[in-house]
Amino acid sequence: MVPQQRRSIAVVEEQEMGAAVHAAAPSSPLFKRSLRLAGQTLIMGIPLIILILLILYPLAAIILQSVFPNLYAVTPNLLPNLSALAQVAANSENYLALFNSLWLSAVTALIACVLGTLLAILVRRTDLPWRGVIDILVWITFFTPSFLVGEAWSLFIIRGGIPDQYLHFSDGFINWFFSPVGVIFVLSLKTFPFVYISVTAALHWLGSEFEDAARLSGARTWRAWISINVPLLLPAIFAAGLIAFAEALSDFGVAATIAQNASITLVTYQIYTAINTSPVNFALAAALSLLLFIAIALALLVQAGVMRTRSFQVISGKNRPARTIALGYWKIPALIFCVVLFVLALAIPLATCLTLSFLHAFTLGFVPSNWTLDNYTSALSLGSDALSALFRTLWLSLGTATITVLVGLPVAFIIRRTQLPGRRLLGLFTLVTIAVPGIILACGYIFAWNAPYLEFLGIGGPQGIQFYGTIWLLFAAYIGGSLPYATRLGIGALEQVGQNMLEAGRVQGAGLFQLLLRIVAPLVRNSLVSIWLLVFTGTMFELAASELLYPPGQPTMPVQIINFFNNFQTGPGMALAMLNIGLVTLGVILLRAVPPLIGRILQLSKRRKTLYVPANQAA
Amino acid sequence: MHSDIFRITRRPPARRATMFLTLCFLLVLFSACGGSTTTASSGNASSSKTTCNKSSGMTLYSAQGYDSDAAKAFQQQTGITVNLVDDSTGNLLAKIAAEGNNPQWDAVWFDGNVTMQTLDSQGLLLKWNSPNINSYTTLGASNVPTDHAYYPTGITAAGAIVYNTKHIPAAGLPQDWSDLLKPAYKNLMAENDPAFSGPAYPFIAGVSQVLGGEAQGKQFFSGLKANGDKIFQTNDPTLNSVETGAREFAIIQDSAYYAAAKAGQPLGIIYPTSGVAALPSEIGISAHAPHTACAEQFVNWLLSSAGQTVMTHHDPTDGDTYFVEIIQGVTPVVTRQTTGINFVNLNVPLWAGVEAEYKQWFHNNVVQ
Repeated sequence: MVPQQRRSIAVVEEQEMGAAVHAAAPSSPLFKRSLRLAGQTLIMGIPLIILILLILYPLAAIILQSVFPNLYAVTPNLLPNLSALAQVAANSENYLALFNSLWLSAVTALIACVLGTLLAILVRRTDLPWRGVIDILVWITFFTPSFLVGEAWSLFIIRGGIPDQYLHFSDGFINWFFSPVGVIFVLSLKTFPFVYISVTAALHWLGSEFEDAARLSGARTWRAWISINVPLLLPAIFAAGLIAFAEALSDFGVAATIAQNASITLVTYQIYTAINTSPVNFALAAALSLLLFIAIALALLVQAGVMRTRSFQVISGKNRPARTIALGYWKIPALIFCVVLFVLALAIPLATCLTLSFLHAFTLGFVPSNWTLDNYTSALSLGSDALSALFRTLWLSLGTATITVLVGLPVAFIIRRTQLPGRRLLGLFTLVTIAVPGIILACGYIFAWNAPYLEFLGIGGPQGIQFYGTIWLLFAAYIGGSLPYATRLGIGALEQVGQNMLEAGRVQGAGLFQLLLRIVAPLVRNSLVSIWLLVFTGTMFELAASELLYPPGQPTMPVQIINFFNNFQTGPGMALAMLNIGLVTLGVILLRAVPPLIGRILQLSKRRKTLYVPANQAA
Repeated sequence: MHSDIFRITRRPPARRATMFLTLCFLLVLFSACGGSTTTASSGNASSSKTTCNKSSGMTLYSAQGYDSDAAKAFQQQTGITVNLVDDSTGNLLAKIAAEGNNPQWDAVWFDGNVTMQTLDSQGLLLKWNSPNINSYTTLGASNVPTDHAYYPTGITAAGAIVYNTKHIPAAGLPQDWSDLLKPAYKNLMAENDPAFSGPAYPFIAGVSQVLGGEAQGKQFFSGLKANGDKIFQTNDPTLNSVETGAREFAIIQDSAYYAAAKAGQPLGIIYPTSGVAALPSEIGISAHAPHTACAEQFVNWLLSSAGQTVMTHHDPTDGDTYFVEIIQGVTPVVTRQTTGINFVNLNVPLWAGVEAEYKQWFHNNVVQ
């Protein structure tokens, strides 16, 4: 029932260039063929070039310093020096840090996978009430900056904080929270949206036929789901689970805020102290980052081990519509699960932030004199500065999301469906980029794009084209930072597309461009929309690259928010953050509600041919 | 030529060969840059070095709360554009280090002479004479380094003891650093982690200097740890622990205390009698600045009453506003204690030299 073949698609050029094909189509003029070839080169080449320039090159610029510490020194040279690596290897604390990072991230990813998958199935396949609202809530959870969530939780549980004044937490509870437990808790709640988003897109094409077959053989609904449907969703779960793993691995803020005194050393802590305090030591930071490569390689091995066992292609060209499961009595526990999840993931942190934004001082409690609007006055006193920062962030985010989706799909296709040599390495690098702390990648961008040698290519210097220090560098960094997410999620989506559909397309003479545009893109359309929204909202609150790379005098909105926090002005910082979260939420609601509406209107006005897409699945 | 890259058949050797080629490509790329950098900035010494081009202006990297106000006011008064990069000190240090020998900044402004001295020792700062050097007060003048590579614009105390006026312990308030080792103050202390907090290392260095040296300092902090000292990341969470009553005493930068007290928190401050480390806000100009002349004008302006007035008029909810003025004839707007503080000037080269080692020791022995 599930196709077992794991062939990769042969890319069409070869056939085209081959004499047989040429003989079979003698009528096609030369220029048409070269046009087609150029198109194919474009669709494969441009994404690859973008990937190399925006991810591999900056990452290499910093990581190579672990071995060549003088790569970008005042007098650069290529003398290899292993002292940084030796320093990392000699310090036993680093092994402990790697071990801690590994298990903490693995547990986080596991919890995120369970929460995200369960929620996705409940929302998309059952008659759970308020499903539409839950979808929006997941998005808000996703884009709420993690430093806000970490700060909110630590202030919520803190001894003497407002909740403590009423609830009187026990010492045991407070110590239990301010430990790896709290870190895993907050990070799981921050990363489960990745899994949710990935799985909801995958569920779109998972019809009820496998489930029905199982039911006919006597299995109950839950059995059919656990033994057939959930395994079929594994590519999507893994794609997002790996992101959750890498996100947890690269996290620094939450761990530092919550596990402040837990005596647990993480790799990111070691990296951060090497790079963010005087004297700055990039060689050491780069050598430590290699530990993250090990962690990612291990995670990819686990994934490959599981994925090798079977095929996960469910889009075969004869998909049936999915049935909605009636929850019956299970409606109540399912609803309780959702409510608890969002109270923890969203309501408590956001309510804490909102409260803080209306208080003079958090610890003075809810006395009348403590309530104020001053924080909002302070935040809005930025006036036109804040507005221009908002517009700047907005167009950067829109551009980043659009380009990332356009480039991410071909890259995912290259990694998953071609035999292009080096594609595995490409896959590894996309994930490593997520696992490496943002500040490392941002420094890589500085090394790579402020390098004096670029002057010889006409970039930088007094006469050359200015790139470093302009908004375009930040734009490039946003794209480079988002591509790995788009690629990973794209791979998960591609896994579902049946080989036979692509082969059918090829037999009909479709070129690579047509294959991607006419077959793959429409099939994974839902994933693409989700990835677009994910990148857009993520970029609206992106911090690491923004802080280090924003052009002088032109801050982005997240930079303005964090500047308040850097100056210990928590109230105004919270106020500005709340205003922005409100705005983006409004945007997400519009984006999620308007397209289906337009779609419905369009469907009414002109009836389209439904090829292989059942009409009731097209929505 | 593209056609043979995409192949149906599996050819493992080809894949390995491509990995090798990729590596070679990277190596060639980097070795190509290796030889070429020496000539990079030779033609750069144009007119912008000696005369200030008002429209291109200057680029300022700063971690000060009042930097945006200062940049705007300077631009308004002189017509010289100031392009501001406002970021945390740690990020600015990373950015400056990564820009290396192709700096895009003209001036850098943050708290801490020890950190600034490290930049100076790396040859990153311009040694120059500001005409306003005579406007300094005695305290200000004593903080100007002999090589004139950076200039203080204001002073705060790196670490003073803050307490909650609602939770005064039975043993009364401590008067000096050594009091904190007494059993009466067991499990009552909180302080900042120098891996995250800018003022933490100057404070540690200051106490060590007051007590006689690094060895005495380490002994003191080991004792403090044994007496139940708790380490938080930065001023804010450390101060929070006292505001909430979780801890009774916090050692933080005094400017953070004044902002919290202004917000209505019931807090008091103690300046230990044997001395607190002076933490100057420092500004330095890049040795390879693209716009040196504009940057010098900006520094001169900051060291004048015009610049100082803008700094003192900054938002009173921001702690940075509460600095001790070190330019003659400037009247402060916000109120803070300026007298009765035994400011100790750090032996900057000494403490800059041992910074990495001391921080690592602190992390391994006190934070962990």
